[in-house]
Amino acid sequence: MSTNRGNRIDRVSAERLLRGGLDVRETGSRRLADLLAAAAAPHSGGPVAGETAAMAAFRAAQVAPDSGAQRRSMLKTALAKIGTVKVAAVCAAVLGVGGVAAAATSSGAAGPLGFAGFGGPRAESPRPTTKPTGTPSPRPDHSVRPEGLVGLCHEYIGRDRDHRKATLDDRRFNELADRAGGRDRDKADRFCDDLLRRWPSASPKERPSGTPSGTPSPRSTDRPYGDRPGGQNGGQDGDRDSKPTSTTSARPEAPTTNSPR
Amino acid sequence: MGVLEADLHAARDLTALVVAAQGGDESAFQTVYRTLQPVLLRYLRVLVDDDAEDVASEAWLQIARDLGRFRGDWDKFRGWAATIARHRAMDHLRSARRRPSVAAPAEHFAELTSDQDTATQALESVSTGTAIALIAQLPRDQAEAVLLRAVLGLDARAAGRVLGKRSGAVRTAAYRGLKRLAELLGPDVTENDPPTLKEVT
Repeated sequence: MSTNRGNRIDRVSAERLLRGGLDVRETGSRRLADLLAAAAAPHSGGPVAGETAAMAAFRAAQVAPDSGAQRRSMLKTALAKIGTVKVAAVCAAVLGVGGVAAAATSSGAAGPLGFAGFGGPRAESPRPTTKPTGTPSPRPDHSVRPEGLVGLCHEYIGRDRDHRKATLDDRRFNELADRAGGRDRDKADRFCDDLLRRWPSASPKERPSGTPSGTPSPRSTDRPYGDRPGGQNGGQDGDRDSKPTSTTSARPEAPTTNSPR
Repeated sequence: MGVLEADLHAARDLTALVVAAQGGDESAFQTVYRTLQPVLLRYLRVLVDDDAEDVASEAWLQIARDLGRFRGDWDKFRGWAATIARHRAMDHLRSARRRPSVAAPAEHFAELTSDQDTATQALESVSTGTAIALIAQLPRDQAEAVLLRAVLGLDARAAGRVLGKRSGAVRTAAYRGLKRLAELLGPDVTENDPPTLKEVT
């Protein structure tokens, strides 16, 4: 039905246009078809924006999937301040190579986004039952479990500077304030910088057995899709409550919902 | 690296890539990123205009973080990622206290309605950036429905999940959007097509 009637379009034609699975020129408005085709056209080539930051986030999440929330907030703050170009360096810092990230987070104004409601309630001290053994604690003479402090520090550093004082006044951060030497932002900044440099992950015992590295591995990026590990499950029907299909991911905490909020 | 349009529809391969990325395969994640990010950016442009890249960056941080918890195929992954991107965009709009409507430069519209070119340029004649800018002129619910369906390739139900609406509402919004676009573009009285603009995304 090539009724080239200009701007007249019915619902059936609209549906066909939106699906884009047939010759869009037969659906009533050529201009409209052209427009939609242009909107959906393949990327024109060249670099895809933000890839460095995304890959850095991916690596960080691989190293410590459990503390992703804190790590993300930290990365996010750093990102907001120093831009995506330096993210790789930030990530390296987060992973224990240096103190760049912590320094970056304590040197500027608030990030552009309100960050509070992200990812549900912020974690309390993570996993009080997992006690790392044989890992150096920054101040072993205190009784507080280091991983709890690391979580607090991640959370603390993740706040923008204007909110850190209020954060220290929160009773939940008593441990941090005590250990840092008072409810003083500078002291807490320094303490957390130091702690996170030495103890980048809130859950050291759940790290992969290999030594985590902040440097990108020089992998080929244009490998054919077909030879990847992980199997195929393209037959998934996309129902909301579908079962897990991944055989390569066995994260202990993984719920089966995809609610991204 | 260019991404073939066919990639968007090669659901099985891309599902495998998502699974591989969930298992820690960095190059798989990179390919997923390169495939999805361009269209995600187009969607975000409709919502936050020039801040699209910043918001996309936020979204990818969350995607990378929560990837292990995702369950589903490529179709679902697109919807999941779009939902995350939308949440971050809404956060952004709230924090910026800004209206999401985008005022595209007038020349975009003039270009799309120009009758001075030849028909030979056909599909390629409208640049992606111009097309997205024009769609962004629609009321937001219509623009989002059109983008999610025509650009991200979601069906009405999946788009409805992203938007928190029923599929019927999405169909109606998309239909109204297309109708409005057709009006803006004018009738196909000639075989002329708009001239080329440089590719934006």
